[in-house]
Amino acid sequence: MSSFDYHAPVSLPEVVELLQSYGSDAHLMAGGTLMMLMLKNGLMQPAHIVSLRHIRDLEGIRPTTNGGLEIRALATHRQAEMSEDVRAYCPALAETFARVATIRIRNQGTVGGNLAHADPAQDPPAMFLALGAEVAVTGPEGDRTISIDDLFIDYLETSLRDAEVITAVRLPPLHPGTQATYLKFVPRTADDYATVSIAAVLRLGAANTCEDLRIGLGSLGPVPLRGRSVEDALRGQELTPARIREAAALVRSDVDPLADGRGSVRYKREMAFVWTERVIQGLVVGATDRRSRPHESRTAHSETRYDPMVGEVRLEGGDPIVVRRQMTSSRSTNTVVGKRTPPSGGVMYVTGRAVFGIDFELPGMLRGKIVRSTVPHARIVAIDTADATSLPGVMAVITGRDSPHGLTGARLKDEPIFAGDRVRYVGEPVCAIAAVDERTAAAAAQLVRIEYEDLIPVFEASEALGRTAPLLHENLGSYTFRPYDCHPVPGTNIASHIKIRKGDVTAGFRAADVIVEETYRTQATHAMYIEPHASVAQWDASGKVSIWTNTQAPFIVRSGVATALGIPVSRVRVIPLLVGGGFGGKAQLKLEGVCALLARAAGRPVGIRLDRAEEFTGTSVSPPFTIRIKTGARNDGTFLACEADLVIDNGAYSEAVDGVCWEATIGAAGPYSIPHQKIDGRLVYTNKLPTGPLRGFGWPQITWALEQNVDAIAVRLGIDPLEIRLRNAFEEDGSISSTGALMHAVGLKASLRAAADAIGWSSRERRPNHGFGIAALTKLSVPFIPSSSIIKINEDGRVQLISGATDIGQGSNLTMAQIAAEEIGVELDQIDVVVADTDTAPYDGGAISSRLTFFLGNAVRAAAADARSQLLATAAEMLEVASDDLDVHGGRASVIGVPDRSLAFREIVLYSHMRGGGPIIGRGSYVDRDVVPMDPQTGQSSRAATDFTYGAQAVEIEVDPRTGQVTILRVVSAHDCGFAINPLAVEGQIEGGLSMGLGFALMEEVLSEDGRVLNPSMGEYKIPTIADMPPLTSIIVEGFPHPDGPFGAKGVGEASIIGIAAAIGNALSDATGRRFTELPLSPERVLTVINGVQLDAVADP
Amino acid sequence: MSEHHLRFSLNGVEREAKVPADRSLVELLRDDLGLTGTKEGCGIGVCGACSVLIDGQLLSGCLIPAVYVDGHEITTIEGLAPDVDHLTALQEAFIRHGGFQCGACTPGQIIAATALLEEYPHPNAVEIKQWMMGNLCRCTGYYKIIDSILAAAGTDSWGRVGEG
Repeated sequence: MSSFDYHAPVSLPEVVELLQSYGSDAHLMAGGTLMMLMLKNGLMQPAHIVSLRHIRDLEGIRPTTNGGLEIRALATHRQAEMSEDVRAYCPALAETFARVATIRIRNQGTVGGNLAHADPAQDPPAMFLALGAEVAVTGPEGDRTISIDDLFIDYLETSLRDAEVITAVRLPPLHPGTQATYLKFVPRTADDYATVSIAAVLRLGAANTCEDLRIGLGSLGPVPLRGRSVEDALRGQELTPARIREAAALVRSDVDPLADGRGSVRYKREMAFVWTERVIQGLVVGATDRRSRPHESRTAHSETRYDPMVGEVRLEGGDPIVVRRQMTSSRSTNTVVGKRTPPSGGVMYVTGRAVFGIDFELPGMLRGKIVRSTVPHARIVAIDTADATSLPGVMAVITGRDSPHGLTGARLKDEPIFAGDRVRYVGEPVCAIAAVDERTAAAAAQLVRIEYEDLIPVFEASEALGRTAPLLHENLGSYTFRPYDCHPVPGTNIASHIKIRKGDVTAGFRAADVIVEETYRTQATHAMYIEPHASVAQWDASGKVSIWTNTQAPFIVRSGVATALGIPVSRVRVIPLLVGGGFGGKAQLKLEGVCALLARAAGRPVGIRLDRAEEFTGTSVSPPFTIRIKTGARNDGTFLACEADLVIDNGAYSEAVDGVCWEATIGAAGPYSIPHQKIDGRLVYTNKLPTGPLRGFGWPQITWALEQNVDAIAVRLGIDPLEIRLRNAFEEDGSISSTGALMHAVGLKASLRAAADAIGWSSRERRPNHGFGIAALTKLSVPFIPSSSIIKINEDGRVQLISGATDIGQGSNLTMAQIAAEEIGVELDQIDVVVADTDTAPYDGGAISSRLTFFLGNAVRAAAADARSQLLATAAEMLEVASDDLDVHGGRASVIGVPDRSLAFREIVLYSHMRGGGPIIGRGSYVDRDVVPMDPQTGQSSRAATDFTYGAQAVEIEVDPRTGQVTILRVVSAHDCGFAINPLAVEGQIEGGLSMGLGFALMEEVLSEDGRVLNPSMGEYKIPTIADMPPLTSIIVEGFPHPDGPFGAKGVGEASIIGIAAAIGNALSDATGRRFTELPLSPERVLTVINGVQLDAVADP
Repeated sequence: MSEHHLRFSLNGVEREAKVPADRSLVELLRDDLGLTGTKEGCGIGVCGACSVLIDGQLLSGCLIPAVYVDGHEITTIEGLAPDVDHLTALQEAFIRHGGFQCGACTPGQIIAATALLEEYPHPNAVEIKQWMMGNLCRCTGYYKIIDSILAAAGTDSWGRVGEG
């Protein structure tokens, strides 16, 4: 924000006087919502802000004597929405206010401020235009009124003169029989700005003659507009459906929309037509009379918000929002695991006492700011930091030139902390500043001048594969990498090439009766955790650095910092702070290395927290995929051959996406037995933001392609999509995977049947524009990443479970406590879980890859068994019995059959301390001892990974053939998790993954152009809101326990994001007869596929 | 930059603060007063992590200029329960029903739900969805947030009392 003085006058004349004296240096502020946004993003830099907040005269809403209405400028949207006077004047006006943003914004934003801002995407202006409002203003020359038609003159510009203030909006009396409506088309999320909005005020005479019609249009031009062509064409006419359509089509020439994430110019123009027609039609037939809808009439509150035309909330009559089922085959004798258990440590979260990464500070801490590359590909010629260094308050400035040059990465180590002589993406760290506070650091960052010599960039993976493409990493051949699951190709832009070769794919296709081939594409998405990245570093006198950070994987950070700085891991201590959402996005080194270098240079602790915009330019996104997939089958539906070519856009550095490439390539054949396979996954560098891990790790992308291809075969062969899956799916035991492994305990068919039953697959009805879709899913946990745990029994008898694995919300602490309690035989509340730092915790690979329940769970179980056996051995010595004669009950070790011969844990531990073997410390690890590396040429291995999950998802959808909007009517998500150690937490994983999956399928996309992110905010990158969630049936499928899992458990953290996009794609295909190959399924994209590319030729319903 | 002396009530305690004109309320709370329960997630009033109550009204801490709270009553997540042994019904319900996972959005969710139940003590699921639409959560998929609010209100999905 720029520097300004704040003035809070108490009368209008004072306001006018202040505005006059400061002229263009001053700006008014009413509620402050829009002004704060403008100030924050630098769009406005006034020297003086004059607040209207204390002008009591500007408050209130009242009917006027002529039957109209006056809304004073400081009335909030919420006051207008709830006002009986507004409702009595025109219910649609109240509804318009109710559609403004969210309740917090409506509580703050004012009617006058909204008008003065002149944003064409706001809701009330369109309605005011339709109602024929007048705007009352006061100024140096006294009071005057401006017709609303004359108020807006350009984008964010009004016809207000210098030092004029809006005092009220006056609405004329409405003729009896006037009907009005406001339609806000928000197909992405319920809280989005309108793609288009239409306000209409209609007076009908006898025989449906249009006596008067006024139309206001939002989001359809640089200013809120009137639909004059439509009005003129219909005034005086009988409103027949044909005439309304003909006239509504004229709106296309009234509008002048801008393209954005909500749609192209053409799409918005078309939507203006569709919704204008529907709105007028609705007014004529009274279809928008909300009072006739029983479920809305309960309170004024629900009446004002539910809009069935927009489909904002779809709570079908009688449909519960969520049904949760658990299919259990046998009763277990367990007493702690398997029970729905809420977290015991929940109090700190619900009272605001939990300390997350963004909340952590050290005394004397400086704040850091990263200066990032503004060009996608260039040599750095010079960096001038002189001005930044001399700014008062700046304590250190560092660049790549004075930093160590160690390269980091999960497998392929290709990424420096700072660009050295060369930048490879917009946003790459070039320099960093530590200063006394964030604003000083940010100001200094503005003073750094970097001279670049541009290199030719490449933004598309397909182009980066070309012979003439610029090489991003000439030294690829000298980088270190993990050969198990990464195979770089030096001399190319291929960071990894993974191959599966199995059988004879040519012969397989020759023998096939039907072959289906298609190319599918997916987009870049962001993890969009609510808490941004934050880290703090501090060095001690011995040359050791401590780093507090909100990471999913402390040991990955430790090795990353050590490698980058060229110091031993023992010189790096990583202290994990609470993580406010990770989803893969906080698993790699991000701020930690920069903080460490700044702290060393400044000699003081340094902390950096990213703001949301920097989250989009300085972290990582999921990799876009282009997948050509070809499947061959016999007439009976048996799959014979699969050929797939995956081209994965890596961005500038690999982070962990080399692992994504490996998993997605393995996954391309799906959970199906296919004898002949040829699959190539290539990970390709481009000059874009590095891609990184994100929940699903390549499986949602590959599943989007392969599960639609499965449906395409089913359609070609006339076989039911469920049936063809059941015919080819892995059996419970004995199927061979794409990598040649013998599969066990596969609950896939059970999941498919459960999902199909719950959605009503066999009795599904056929209606136009309505469809059902199903998709199978599987995923593996990445191998060769161990977990370990230590369990101490304390002197008070409590059990302390220590690991280095962070609970990032998935509930791992509780799950581990349940496992330990069950194994030792104590109550859950006797366990204390400690997430320790990397100095004290035993090694853990991190909260990634759905791995903790399986890997750490096994480690904890082993540690618990070890502690228990030490405990019982000591007790046996004390009681002079054999260990085998002892059991644990109620926190005591007792002689079996002789309950009064028992010892409290406390007594045993004290004895052990004084006279036994010392402290009781159990240890346990889980290591993939029996995993066999895949052959690099064929991808074959008897056991490429250990932990697999299975599931199936099904949806029922509706598609609007004129807008392309997809409405999810119901979702079923069924998951074989082996055994649910905490069903409450498993449900949470299913439900949370589903919402991310819906975002991936329908709305989420990091848009970029020439390597620059176009939508770096939560206002433009939309994630599902609570109002976007469809009715859900979630099913935990048990009965297929993993032979090596703790109590049979398998990982389930990523499962429900995987199949949902494919299920929706299949349902859309079912509804329309078309195949949808690109994500996200935005309304415009769907409409384009339904109609071909010619939007102008939209078919009538 | 002008400086402003503010007096306000924060979680029932009278407080004073001196702030520059460009301070936002969330900065005042977190950076100046050390109340880090209120989070800043997006900085533009979209995510709801900074939800606070001012005179009982639900507002975004990131969009409220700190100067605006002069003379007003602020309630943050830290002020809902008198102590950790006496949680509000909503706080209890969010724990019992899985209403949070990572917990970063949770203070905002609970503040928003507190305002909801103040205005509509027995909401149905549609009303909950409409009111809570501005509080984003990336972990739960929201279903268990709805469960939690219904449980705290003692209502079922249709807003019927005593049947939830």
